Amino acid sequence: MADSSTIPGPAATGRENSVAPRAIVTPSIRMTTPTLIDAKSVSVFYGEYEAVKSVSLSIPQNSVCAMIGPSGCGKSTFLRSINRLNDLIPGCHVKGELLIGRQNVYADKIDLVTLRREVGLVFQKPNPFPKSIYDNIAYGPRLQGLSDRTQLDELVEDCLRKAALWEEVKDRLKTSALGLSGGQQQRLCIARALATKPKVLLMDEPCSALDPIATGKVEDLIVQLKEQYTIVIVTHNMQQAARVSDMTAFFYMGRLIEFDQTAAIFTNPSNKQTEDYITGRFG
Amino acid sequence: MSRTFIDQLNDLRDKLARLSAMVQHLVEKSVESVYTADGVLARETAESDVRINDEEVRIEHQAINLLALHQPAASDLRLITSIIKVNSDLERIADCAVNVAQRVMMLDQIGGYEAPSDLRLMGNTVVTMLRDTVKAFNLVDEPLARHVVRSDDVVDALYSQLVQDMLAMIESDRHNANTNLGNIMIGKNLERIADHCTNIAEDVIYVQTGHIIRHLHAV
Repeated sequence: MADSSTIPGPAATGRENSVAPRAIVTPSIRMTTPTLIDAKSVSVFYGEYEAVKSVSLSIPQNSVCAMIGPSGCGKSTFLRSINRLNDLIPGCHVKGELLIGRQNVYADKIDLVTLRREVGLVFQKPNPFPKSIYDNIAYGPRLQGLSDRTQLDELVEDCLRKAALWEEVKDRLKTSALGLSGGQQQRLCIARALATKPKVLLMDEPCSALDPIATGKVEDLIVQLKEQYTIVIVTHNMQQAARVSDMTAFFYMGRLIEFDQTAAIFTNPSNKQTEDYITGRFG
Repeated sequence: MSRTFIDQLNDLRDKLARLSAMVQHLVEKSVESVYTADGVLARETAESDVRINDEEVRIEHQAINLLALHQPAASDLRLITSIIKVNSDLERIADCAVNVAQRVMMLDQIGGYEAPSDLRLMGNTVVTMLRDTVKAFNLVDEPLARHVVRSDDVVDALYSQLVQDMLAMIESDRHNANTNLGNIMIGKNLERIADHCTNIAEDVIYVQTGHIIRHLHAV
């Protein structure tokens, strides 16, 4: 099993409240909340094309950060650069530093398997494995070498409880995950991401394929999960960003235009472009 | 945001502008009835409040619908929440103007009423203040709004002086106590109108800047 210390914990050293451009922290984030994800002049290129342009932002630990902006603004590219999923795209390369805790995830020595175990990703469309509910959760831990049945049972139950799915599936753990509803499948995917004990959960439009009731459940779950995880969510639904996030980052044409407390962004944004996007007067 | 939303928001602003014009007219007529001791004008003024009450309810419904159906944010959110508050302040201003008019009707029955100079000065100041307030809101004129907030201190000082003068006159001439008490009551309502103008001016500053300046005393 890989050493989980590859990605160290948050750097609680004088970087508190380093939230640009305003040094304001939401009431739900304690003033002492350290930064967990720290991007320093991060640029992402697809060949010659610069999709993300020198983005710097600091995401506090145990917070939810929403990324909003029109299609093609670079928000998903930035999100996927956090767990280096863009590495899989030919011609894609990254400049700048992206720290999780004190570790630059683009350092040469980084172990990608460990990185992706510690930075989970939930996609837009629920994508359970064509296996049982139990095996979906147990898949990652088994790959990591966990074979003790009791420990696996406990882990599966714990993850399903954290994903607010246990009560709905506890009597059918051995049935196919594909038989679950869309909302249940998405919560299963979140539970699966939790099974590898990540520090960070990335979510790329996790509710866009869900109905309002399932969306509500996933949103409640996001708010609960921030107690233990740091969550970054890309969403086109601005009301969702307003409902679940502590901080909001507005991207436009590859640039980070504004990053602030969500309440400030939605009541009194500093930047005219943010204002125009939030109020739907864009373009 | 959709064209529908922008059209509906503009329509809401128009409705509030019309309501503020009605309220302004009502206040000017009630103050005029004080100056002229005109009981008939005062009665007309008091009765015209009904239209304002109806319009206030319509505006509130429309503003709540906009919030519920479009979930506005940023400057749109600040504007609509402020419209709801300003709408309420305007209705209260109209109520105060009606109170003034009703007091004039009572004084007219006593006969021989003449408004003291303190009260005339208060009336002129409040009418100007309301005019500036309405203009500041319609044009989202922050400097003018700050001027309105400062004007409230002038009205408070005038009211204080009026009360002192009237109490002194009540002590020296008990036969006219009702008239002098009436002047205090009129002054109190004018002072309340100035307070509501101040609230509206503070909302203008909020709409423009996003800053809530109430209770800060730093205009």
